[in-house]
Amino acid sequence: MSSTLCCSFAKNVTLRSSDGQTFEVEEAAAQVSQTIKRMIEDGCTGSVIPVPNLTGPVLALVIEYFKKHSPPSDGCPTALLEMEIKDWDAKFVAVDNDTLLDLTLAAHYLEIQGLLDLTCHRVADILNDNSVEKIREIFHIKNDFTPEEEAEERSKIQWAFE
Amino acid sequence: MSIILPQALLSEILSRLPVKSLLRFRCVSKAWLALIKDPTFINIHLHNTRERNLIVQTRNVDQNDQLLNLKYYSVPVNFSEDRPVEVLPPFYRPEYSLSFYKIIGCCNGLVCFRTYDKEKIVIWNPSIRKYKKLPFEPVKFGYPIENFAFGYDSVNNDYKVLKIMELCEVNVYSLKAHSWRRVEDKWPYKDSSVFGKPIYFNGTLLWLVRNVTNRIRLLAFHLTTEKFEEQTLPVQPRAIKTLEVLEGSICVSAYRPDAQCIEFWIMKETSWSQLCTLPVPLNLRYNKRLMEMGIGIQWRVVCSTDDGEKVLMEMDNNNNVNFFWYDIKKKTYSNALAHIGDKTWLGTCVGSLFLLDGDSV
Repeated sequence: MSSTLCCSFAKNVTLRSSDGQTFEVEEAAAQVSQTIKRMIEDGCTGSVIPVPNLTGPVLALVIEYFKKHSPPSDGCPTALLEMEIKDWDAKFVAVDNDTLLDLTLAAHYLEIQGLLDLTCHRVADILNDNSVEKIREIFHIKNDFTPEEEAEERSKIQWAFE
Repeated sequence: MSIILPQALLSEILSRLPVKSLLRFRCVSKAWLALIKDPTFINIHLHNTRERNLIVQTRNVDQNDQLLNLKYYSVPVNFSEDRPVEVLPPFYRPEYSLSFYKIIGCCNGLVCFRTYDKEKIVIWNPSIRKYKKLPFEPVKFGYPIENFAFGYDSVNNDYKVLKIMELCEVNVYSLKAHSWRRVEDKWPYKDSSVFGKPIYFNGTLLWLVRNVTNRIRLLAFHLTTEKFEEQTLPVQPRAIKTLEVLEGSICVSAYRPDAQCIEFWIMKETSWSQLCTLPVPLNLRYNKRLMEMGIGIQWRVVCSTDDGEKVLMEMDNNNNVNFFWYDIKKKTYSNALAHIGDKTWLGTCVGSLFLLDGDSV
């Protein structure tokens, strides 16, 4: 009886953000992150799993993503479910730029391929229409070309600037 | 927005940008220039890109049907009614006729051309407008274009052009070695001829081959092992008309004279399944006998939309070429690319940075 009861509850893990907030989440859901999956396999489940690169609010968002993307308990996802998840994903990254970047970094640190794909596409879409000057500003990049060098680079691919 | 990102993450983001934007962003800084030229980044970009363009060849003729010029356009697949962008191959000379430019094949955003101008073969990347000339390889004038093929050897990260001579000896050009050499394996059928263009699919080149008794086979050449191997076909092989690649699957069309329709089959993993059936329009049925003989109208698939719901079809009625979108679910047709006149060839190209540092003559 007790063993049946035990199995009917999903196993949970606790994640701790850089600012000390803790979150409880199903182990299967957290394993959407390859980094956390490895830590669980290495036996970190007994204690709290530290996630030092993420603040509380970002980790809370990532956990929402985990829950939506945890493997379904009963077999294959249906086409309808896939479509629903796709819609959900689109809304999930329709956030302000700072939050978007936090999520992109989180996907990178925690190795969440789906979220990395989603956020990188969104960032790329935002960058796409910007001028070279604007890109330097966004990324805090100092232009290290001499005016002649830059003019030469531009002249090679003048059509791309049209 | 202001960002400082780890280098690997910057690669991930930039690899999702269209080629044209990346070319502009080469001017951001020396580090960005180096990254965008880097072969590893070019491969990541090829893997992550969603950019797919139709490359359209069009011809202009005067009142006497003399060719005035050929033009090439690039049209995004999912915005096919957008304004087409003209892309002029740099080796193009307006005084040459259509027969001077034959397309060998497309692969990973590259188009392989044969020009009869001094028997040149060139690999062209229309996304970055660069091309590379292959070393001279003698061929007889009028040598069939079907005896050439172009593809990618992913194990060796190399692009290869194949030349089958008199349907027996085979020569291969390797882009890495930038030279031609003889292949050990020989063309396996002495009594057969190739029909239709060879295609590149997943590390192999594929041909439809017909022997003297009209038996049709599907022949594959593995670009890594450089060996030939016969593959199975889905339907009674006599009916097979065309061989194409459709979004990561092999696609063949077959004519069913009893039902007056064209069937399209695609190979998923190792088994064939039917994609759709097109009824032959009533006004075209008069040449049923010609169709049975393999003459007359040819239908082929060009590409499908990202959601897979519509397929772009080419209908070639004795060199009178038309294109239309076919909606698989609704079974409806709509004209495609009507705003581009007199189209003669369409191929699909993903946005690729390959050849970024190649010859740009």
